[in-house]
Amino acid sequence: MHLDLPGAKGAVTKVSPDLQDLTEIVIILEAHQDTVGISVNRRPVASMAELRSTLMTLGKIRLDVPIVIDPSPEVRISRVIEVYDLCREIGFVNIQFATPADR
Amino acid sequence: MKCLLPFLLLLAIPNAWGQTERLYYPRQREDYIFLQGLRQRHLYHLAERYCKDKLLRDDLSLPERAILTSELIVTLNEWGMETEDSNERQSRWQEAISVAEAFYRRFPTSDWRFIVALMDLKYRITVASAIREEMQLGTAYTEAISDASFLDEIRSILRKTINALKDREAELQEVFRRPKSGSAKDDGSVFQEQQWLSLEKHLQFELARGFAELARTYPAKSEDHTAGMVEAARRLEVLSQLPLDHPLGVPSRLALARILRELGDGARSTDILKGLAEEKLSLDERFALRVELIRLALATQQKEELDKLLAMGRLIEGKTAPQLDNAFLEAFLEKWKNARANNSDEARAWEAKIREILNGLRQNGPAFWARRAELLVTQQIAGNQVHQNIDMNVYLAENAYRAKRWEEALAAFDRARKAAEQQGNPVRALQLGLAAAAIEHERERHQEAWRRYQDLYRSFSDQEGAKDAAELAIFHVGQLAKENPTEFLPLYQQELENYLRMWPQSEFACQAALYLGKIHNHFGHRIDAANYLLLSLESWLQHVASLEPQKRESAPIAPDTPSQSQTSQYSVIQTVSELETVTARILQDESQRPDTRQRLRELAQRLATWAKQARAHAPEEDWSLRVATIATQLLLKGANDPHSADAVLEQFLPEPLDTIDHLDVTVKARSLSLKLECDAWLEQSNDNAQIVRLMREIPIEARLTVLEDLGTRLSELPPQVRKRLALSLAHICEDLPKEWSSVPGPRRPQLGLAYSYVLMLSDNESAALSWLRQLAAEFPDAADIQEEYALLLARQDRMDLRQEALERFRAIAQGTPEGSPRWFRAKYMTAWLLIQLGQPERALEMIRVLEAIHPELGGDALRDRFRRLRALCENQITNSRPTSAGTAR
Repeated sequence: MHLDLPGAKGAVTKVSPDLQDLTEIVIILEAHQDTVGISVNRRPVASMAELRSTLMTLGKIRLDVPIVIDPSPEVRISRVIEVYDLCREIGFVNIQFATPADR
Repeated sequence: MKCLLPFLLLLAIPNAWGQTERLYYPRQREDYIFLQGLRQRHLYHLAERYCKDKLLRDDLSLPERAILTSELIVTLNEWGMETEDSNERQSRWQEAISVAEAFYRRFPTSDWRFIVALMDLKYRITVASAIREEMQLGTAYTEAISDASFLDEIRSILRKTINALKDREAELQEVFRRPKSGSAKDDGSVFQEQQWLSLEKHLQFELARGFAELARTYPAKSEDHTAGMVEAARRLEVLSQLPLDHPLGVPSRLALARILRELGDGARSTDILKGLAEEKLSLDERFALRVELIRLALATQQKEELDKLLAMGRLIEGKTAPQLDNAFLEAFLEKWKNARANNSDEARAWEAKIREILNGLRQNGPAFWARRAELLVTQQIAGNQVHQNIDMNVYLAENAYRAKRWEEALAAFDRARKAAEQQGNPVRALQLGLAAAAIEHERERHQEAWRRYQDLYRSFSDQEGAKDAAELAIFHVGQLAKENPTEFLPLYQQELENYLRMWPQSEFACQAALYLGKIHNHFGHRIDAANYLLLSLESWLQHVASLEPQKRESAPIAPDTPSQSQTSQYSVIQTVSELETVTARILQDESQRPDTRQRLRELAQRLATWAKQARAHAPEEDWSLRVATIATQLLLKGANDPHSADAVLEQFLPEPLDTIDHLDVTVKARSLSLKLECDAWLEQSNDNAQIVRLMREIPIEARLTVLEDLGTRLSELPPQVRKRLALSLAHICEDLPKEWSSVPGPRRPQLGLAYSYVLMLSDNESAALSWLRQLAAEFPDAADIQEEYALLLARQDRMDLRQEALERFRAIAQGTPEGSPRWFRAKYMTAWLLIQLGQPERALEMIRVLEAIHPELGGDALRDRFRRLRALCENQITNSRPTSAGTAR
């Protein structure tokens, strides 16, 4: 389905019925000059440490909560991998990348 | 060539601007007479057309072409003289020059170009002279003529003309030096020696005129003036030796006599003029001689001689001439001035004579001479410190006004006003000021008009006409405010406030207050706006009540009855409508402000008072009930005082209530619904059944407006009031589902929801459920309806309906932007329903995830409820037993 959320420009696979009431976690990465801006469901996150804390909280609830990583094209791939590795490290099992809709 | 000897433009007499008599070939003479006739009748456009059409022909001989070109030059120049508009004048004179120049270009070596050139240059001098005279007469008398920059331009024109004439003179000398050729053609295209000699005399005459005119642009007795005059006199001395029957004989003598007079040599001038026996002169020459004699008598102060000349009258052989009329005018002005200086009663007699001449010239005389005469009188009045004469100034002002010389008219009215003020006559002064302001009013010069009217009403505030001036000041600043609200709206407001302060009882006060109300509304000062609108109604009523009984009969009781009075343009009903709109906005936006309540109560009391007076004055109108409903709403919704509100309304509802039928349906619906609302507050139910019945008789369209208003406000009312009202409304709108197809589409969502509240609040939940189900199907994208329906489903005990509610809240959350208030509400209800449906674990997970990513949980109120719901989930999971605690919204 197409993500109908601001910043989500891509498409992800369908969410399973028992997860449907859980809010999908959308991590948006945007290039801000030399830094990378991170937000979780449109709420800005100040640092990787704060992102880790938020994800840890979520991971304690369910590890199969759907997570979508949505990087803008200007963000360096190493930063994207860093976020992905963080999700994996916490134990999330349902991590996807938003794919640009026009691909 | 027999007839060509005196072929040239022969000056019979130097009249107005050197009008000429020309002797042409016999076949052109008829053309000349015809064209002269057209010009005398001021049919310049026909004369122009005639010349231009003929000049287009290819078969014209050179003399014919030159003569027609000359006639066209004369026509255009004289037309310019007679034209009031300065731009048009300029363009005609310019065209005359272009016509001449085109001829020079086409026939650069022809002898006939001398004729065209002479005509062209002669008229340049004439035009320069006319402009100078007008400008000098029109120039402020305090300004020294030599300093006037406009004269520089005239000097420049004259110098160029003199140089051009000198060039022609040099060319002529060259012709005279050429060897005589006996083989010259005799077809008229080449001049003979006698013709050249005659031409030379005319050139000398025009040169003399040019020098004299140039001299007149300098102050008398100055070096430049004297030098120019002497040069002109030198040339004329020779020409004045010509026999009297020579075409230049009399004109040269008259011109020389004038120059000598201007040089102060009255004796020689007299000698020359005395040498001209009237009986030997043509009619035009006689007029010119008489003019010069009068001027000479004036200049030399020969009173007896002047009286003798004046006694001869303005007629010669039963005819008048504008030049002589002007000379008489100069003499009369002098006499008038002297009489005034000596405080003689004769002054009035001279004034009458002056007016007679001015009137005659304006009615019959050429425009040029009429204008010149008026300028002369204006200058005399202004320049001789006799501007204390109100009547003469008014006379001049009126003349200038008729001639559309606005500035001159304004100046004259201003002088007259000043004189009236100095003479202690404020009534007249105000009248004169109003006349001047009316000129600016007519010209639609709003700023100037506004300033003038403002000055008048302030300066003469105790005069009767001051009020009119103030109203016109308001009109003009209002026009300015339309164009430029930023700059002028505050000034417009100020004028209106001044007016109301100065003439609160006047007829226009109701309009002034109405405009002020509109302005305050525009700026969002709604309570002030309401106060002014009410003041407007009060002023209107006060004014109408103050009229005498007979007048009151014909006074504009009906708002749109045409009448000459200003109040006839005033619409009570329109003002009441404005007031309804403004007060509705106050109740919507400002009624909760603590400082507003008391002001609204005061406003309501004034409204009730007005309604009583209006009922007494016009019992057949519904104004009183309309205004009473406004007061009721302010008391009920603004001041939270249902007792007072009901008391006001009760006074104005018809007795018995059934007679309300004759009222306008909107007024009826509004007043009855207000009565219902008051009754609901006061727990009164005596009239309820009757009101509901009466309201059911109102067409559905009007009832829907009531439903829209009351239905959407129900939730804000206390529960008991809400329930009573809902029950009544449910009855009133019982037929809505049946009439649904007649409800316009755009109004349906809001009306449908309002009706669903009414059903729910009147404890008819099953009807509400089925109504909302229908609405939800009709408007799948209307989030309000979907949410309301889902909520009502969630409140049901049946599991299948709760399951349906869950699906609907999921859909709402999915279709709503994440983080929005509706999204949070949908999430809350999803969690709540999961608990109700026995899935507290899923609810808990959902809340925890939500809290992790949106810690604010939709704001304070909802966050607490989320947290209570979370605690409930935890409790249920811990105890593993189902519960029905927690609340849907």
